[in-house]
Amino acid sequence: MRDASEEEYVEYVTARIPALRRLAFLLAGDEHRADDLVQQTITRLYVKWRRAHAADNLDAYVRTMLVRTYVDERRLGWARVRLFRDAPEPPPHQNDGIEDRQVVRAALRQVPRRQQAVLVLRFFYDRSVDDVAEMLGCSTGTVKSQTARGLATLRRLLGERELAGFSTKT
Amino acid sequence: MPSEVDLLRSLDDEPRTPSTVDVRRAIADGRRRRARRGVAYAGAATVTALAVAGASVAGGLVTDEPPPAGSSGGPPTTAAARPKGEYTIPGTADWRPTAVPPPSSCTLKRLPAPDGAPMALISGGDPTGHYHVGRSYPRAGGYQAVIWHDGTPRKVMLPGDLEEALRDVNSKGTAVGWSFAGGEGDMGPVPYAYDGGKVVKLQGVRRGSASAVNEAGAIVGDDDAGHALVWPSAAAKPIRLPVPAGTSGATAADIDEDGTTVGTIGNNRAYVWFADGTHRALPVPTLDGKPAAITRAVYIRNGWATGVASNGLDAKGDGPNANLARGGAVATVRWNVRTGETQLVDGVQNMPDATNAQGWILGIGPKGRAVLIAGETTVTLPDLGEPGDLSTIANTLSDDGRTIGGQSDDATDTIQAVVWHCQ
Repeated sequence: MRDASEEEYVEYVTARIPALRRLAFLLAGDEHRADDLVQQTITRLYVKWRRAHAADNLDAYVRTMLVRTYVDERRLGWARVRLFRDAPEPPPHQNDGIEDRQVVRAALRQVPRRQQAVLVLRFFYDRSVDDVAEMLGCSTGTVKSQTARGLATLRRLLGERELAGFSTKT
Repeated sequence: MPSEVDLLRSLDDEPRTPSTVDVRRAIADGRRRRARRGVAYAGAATVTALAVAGASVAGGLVTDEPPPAGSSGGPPTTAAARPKGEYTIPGTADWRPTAVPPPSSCTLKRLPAPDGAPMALISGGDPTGHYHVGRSYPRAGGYQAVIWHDGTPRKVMLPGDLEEALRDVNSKGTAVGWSFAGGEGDMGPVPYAYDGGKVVKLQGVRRGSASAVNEAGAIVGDDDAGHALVWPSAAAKPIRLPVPAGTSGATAADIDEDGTTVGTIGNNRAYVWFADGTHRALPVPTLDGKPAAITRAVYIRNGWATGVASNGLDAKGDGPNANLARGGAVATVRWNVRTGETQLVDGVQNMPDATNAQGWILGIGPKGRAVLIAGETTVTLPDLGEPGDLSTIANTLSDDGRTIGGQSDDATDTIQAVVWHCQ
């Protein structure tokens, strides 16, 4: 089947892979598992392509597929293992927040998977409570409570060390 | 001081390695699945795969000596034989598992989940293949810890409703794992054992997780303060495993029958703790002509540890080693913890998913399918639905290599708990 529909799929997916890898990397925290997540997501997308590409918001639809794949966590045994070290040691005089970001990343990995997804989608991607509820297939109340609990946990974990040299790059 | 939301926004989301995502493979996998869609799934499908002999061998030796020819992976015999006792405790230096030939084919069976939950997976099993542990995904949402005995599931009611998992079980049915507990600002995993039909919170830590249990009932894991721990039993206080001065953080991942424990220190160095109290880093293998930047030990059985080595962030995975061809820069490693012999294992992508006393390994093969590597034999495991990248993952391997537990996506792309029986 090499029809126009498949060409559209290849064109769409090829353009979206960088963005999907970034989302997967934020969630999984590891490049290998991020690529596995994207690979699984685009395979499922191919199967559903005819229906999916007519979706009102295809990007959101694909993000949802990826987030749900992550929340299921297929390769559970490796879920909390990082195959690469965090970013290399920053030069001591250069306070560009690299270290703080490492701490946040490490803290994120210490909250349950659904809360990680809620925090990343709500604050990194600026998605609304309603959007996130739809993506995770849960109620808005659950998203709100998970947001509060997740942020409080991050605050505690981050508070355990001094956040030195952070420059507010948003 | 920035808020935690500011910090979240500041996260660097750019992966540091080149993409290994393959659109063509997605299309090939997707086509097979699409072809199957609409065909009713007929319950316990039985599919058979044949072994491909000689398709995979352990390669990339670091030590001078090659492994014994036709080796099933056991430790080499020592030249100067010591007097042998009347019996040998499993896992100690002179113990050998009953030798078995590699299987040539495996058949697949889907296991039921408690309460008819639509989705489930197996993440651990005992050396005999009778017990498996994992979790189901109930219709109402969340996660449910599960233990299967000869295929019959039972719910394990761990406290907490956030996220939970059972990671390992022994042949007496003692299982270990973790469950998130706590409220706002005070959340974290709590280590649990399921012992004699009861859930027991492991002592001595407020937060932490349990990763593995051996036949004697000793449990290893860690707390959330960066200490590797051994609980001599489900009811005992933990022992903090020693690390070299200046080490930041340690985790214990698995424990052998003689108490030898492996894990990772400083988040970058594979480490072994022996039952006599000595401990040391495992040798660093060479990747692409350089010492690996990071090593991790994840499993140990019969004196052989298995884990991964990676060569850091600047690696592009274009070196001569076939394991790195997928843009990986991550390779599976085996260590004989007693002799220090270190091998790179070919035939699985990046990370191994289980090992057994024969030294056999489960993982994901080059085509994205689950494989058993038994010495020089590679068996590709059959799938519940259509094969595709990581649609089937084998997570446990019995010592006789006849029972494998894991997960496989069904025809609707839903994860199902499955067991393979091999012969």
